[in-house]
Amino acid sequence: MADSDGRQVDSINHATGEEGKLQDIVKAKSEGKELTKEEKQRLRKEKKQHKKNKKDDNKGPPEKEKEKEKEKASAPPPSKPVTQSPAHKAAAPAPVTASASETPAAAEKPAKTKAELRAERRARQDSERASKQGKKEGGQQSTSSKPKASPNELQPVVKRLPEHVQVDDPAALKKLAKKLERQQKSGQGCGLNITGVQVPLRSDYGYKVSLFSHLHQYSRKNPPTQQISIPATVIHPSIVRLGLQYSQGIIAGSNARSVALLHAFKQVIQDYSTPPNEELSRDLVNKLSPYISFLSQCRPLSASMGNAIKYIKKEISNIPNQCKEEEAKGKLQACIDSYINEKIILASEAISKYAIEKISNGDVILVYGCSSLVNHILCEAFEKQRQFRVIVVDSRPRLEGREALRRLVKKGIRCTYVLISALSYILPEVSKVFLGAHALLANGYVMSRVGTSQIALVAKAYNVPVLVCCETYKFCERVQTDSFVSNELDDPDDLIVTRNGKTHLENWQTVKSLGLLNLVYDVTPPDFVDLVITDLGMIPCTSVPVVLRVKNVDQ
Amino acid sequence: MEERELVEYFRGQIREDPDVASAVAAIRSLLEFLKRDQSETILGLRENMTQAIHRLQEADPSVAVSSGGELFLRFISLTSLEHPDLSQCKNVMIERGELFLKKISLSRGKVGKLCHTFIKDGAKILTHSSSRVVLKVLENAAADNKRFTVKLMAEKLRKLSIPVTVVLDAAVGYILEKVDLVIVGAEGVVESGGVINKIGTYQMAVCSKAHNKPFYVVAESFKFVRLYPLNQQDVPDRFKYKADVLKTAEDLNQEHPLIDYTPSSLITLLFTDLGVLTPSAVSDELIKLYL
Repeated sequence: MADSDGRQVDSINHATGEEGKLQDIVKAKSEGKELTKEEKQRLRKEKKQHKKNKKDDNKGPPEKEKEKEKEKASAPPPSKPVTQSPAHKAAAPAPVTASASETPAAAEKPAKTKAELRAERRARQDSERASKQGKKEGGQQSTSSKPKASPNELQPVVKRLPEHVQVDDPAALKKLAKKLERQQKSGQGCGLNITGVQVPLRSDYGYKVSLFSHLHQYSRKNPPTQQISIPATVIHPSIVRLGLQYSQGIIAGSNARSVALLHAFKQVIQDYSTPPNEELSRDLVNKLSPYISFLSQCRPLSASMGNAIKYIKKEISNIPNQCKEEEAKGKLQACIDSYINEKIILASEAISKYAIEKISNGDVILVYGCSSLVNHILCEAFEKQRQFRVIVVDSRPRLEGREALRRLVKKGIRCTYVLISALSYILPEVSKVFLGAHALLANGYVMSRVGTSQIALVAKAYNVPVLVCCETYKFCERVQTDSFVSNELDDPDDLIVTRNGKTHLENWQTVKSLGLLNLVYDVTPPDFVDLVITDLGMIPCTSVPVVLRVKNVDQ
Repeated sequence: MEERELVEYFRGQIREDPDVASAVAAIRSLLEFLKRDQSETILGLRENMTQAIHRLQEADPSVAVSSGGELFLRFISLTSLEHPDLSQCKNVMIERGELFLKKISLSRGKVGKLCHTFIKDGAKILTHSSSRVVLKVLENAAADNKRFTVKLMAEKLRKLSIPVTVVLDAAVGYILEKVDLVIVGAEGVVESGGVINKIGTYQMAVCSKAHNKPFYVVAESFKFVRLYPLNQQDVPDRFKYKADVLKTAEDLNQEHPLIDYTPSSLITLLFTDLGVLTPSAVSDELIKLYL
């Protein structure tokens, strides 16, 4: 308390010119980036003022106004006028009532000096800091800096939800909620009803095991689409549909999700029209951010989807300004098509070619779950008259192995079906293990469906070679050595099984000491994997960073 | 140049200079073939070269010949062959071929220099069968007046006045406790970082792992090959058996293989003319060479 009080006093005392600057330097050291962001923000505000005066656009100031209000009204209720300046007449965060109150406020801004603006902002920050002294240190720092950062990021830089989730950190959650609200409001007029949340924040369901309390756990019975009001003008309907398909598990599997995402984006681009005085390359990217947030609320994004999104954003921002809208849209559609073709379809052809070399006659191949790539390889090998039989290993609650079994048996391949509990019984018969992957991490670890690392471990113990098949677009630069730090928790109600009309776990929520954990992914160390087959060839697991490096050089 | 002539030339090279690596001899013959080739187009030329490599592989089915040949082909065609005149293109290719040959002739010396710092004074070294590279390494080390005792590869070492003891393959486990390090050559280095070498090497590697003794492999870079065997069965048959055996035998399972595969987990370090590499770095080098 003392510290912030002192600073508050200081800031009020040194409100003018040079000392303000000294203060800035000191502050800059302690606050890091905030000062330059303040300056940037100021520059942008001035630019916007000029723009606004030319165009008399309504969008700019309301945004800024709202941002400013949010900055001051973060945790405690908005009745915190503090050392307020004439710029903040509208103290309530309520809907923007009249632009009349804002236009004088906005017009007054150029009239102020830089130092005064700085001083006001600092005073505001200090008051916020004072009020948040009871909360966690980290949250405090980040929330005081994040509201500063976000107004800048509404400009050309696209904002996304943070990669790592911190569900048990209340400050981080609040940050998340604010970001979602901000995303939906960008680009809208002031007349919209704010109480209808456009990008909903899903709430967690059920008791979470403490090791995984930093992850979200949603229930499938409450899809996020229920909270979206109709008409949902911010989120494109094909994205809403996609989100629902993800959250209900209708579209599952890394390749399927990426392809569906790209198709939905094609639709979005088709229906997109550039607003006047905006550039397609910047505006479209901004339009995509709320969609991406919505999708990650429905189901956390996979590494392959992340890479696909990065690619699209790069392509969009590389569109030259002179390009006409129709031409640009056509180009983007072609880019997406070629991405799907090269990275997914042709890659699986290349991988099958390499993999078939490794399948010899008389082999007994073990597969786990349903990987579209592994199924494709086995079907191709069967067509090339290789003699082998397949053992499909399956596990609850998803029972994806049944889908794989269906596809293979339809082709005419001899299959055996076991549950993962029978693994050590069946392994002495097996000659090779083929596994699919969700992502390959930069330290050589393989992230795949839960149960994969178990299979790799037991196979190693029996000296059976383990081959992982993975396209290069699933390689990601993240590093993880265990399955706790970043994972996905599925609906815990899936684990409940009803047999003969009796459900023992029906009221698991009432039992305080019981937690149901339905993990989706796990991570396999590279010592258990003998070979990774990618579209670039056969590489050892430790060479993933080499491939990433080569790819970056290519781009 | 006819194929038979090619093979004769190849055998002649080996006869003249028994100290040369078979891959170097193969590449010299390929260069000769290139010079005497009569084809009219670059595509025809390349096809002839590929066929010539196959012929040589049949003559001497060691891994090194196949890998050396493939690398040679890639190296010479990796330049811009946009000249309108075929003979100019050929000259460019021949120049690059000579360059390649010079580089690899020096590689054995480079490897020798790199490795001998790892051999301490008074060290006891175990090696397996006759490898000219290992011989070079030991020569260099001997020049530095390090004393060591070596098992196998007897006469040549005796000439260098290095104290040598010869042991049976079966006695490797017995002698390993007295030995400080194990150095072997390689016929081929595969993508996973494992090596293909004379039969008996795998055994030695397993024993040295059990005794925690370092297991070093010395190999020139042209021996890197784009294979990825998962186990002993996975090594292609054309490397495992002699040429005439491949043609005449009815059931290859009855024949005794010449080479075996040592997985990368048993190898401590690889000494190559590209430097001292860990087994996982081999894939890195291969990607650089081939992609």
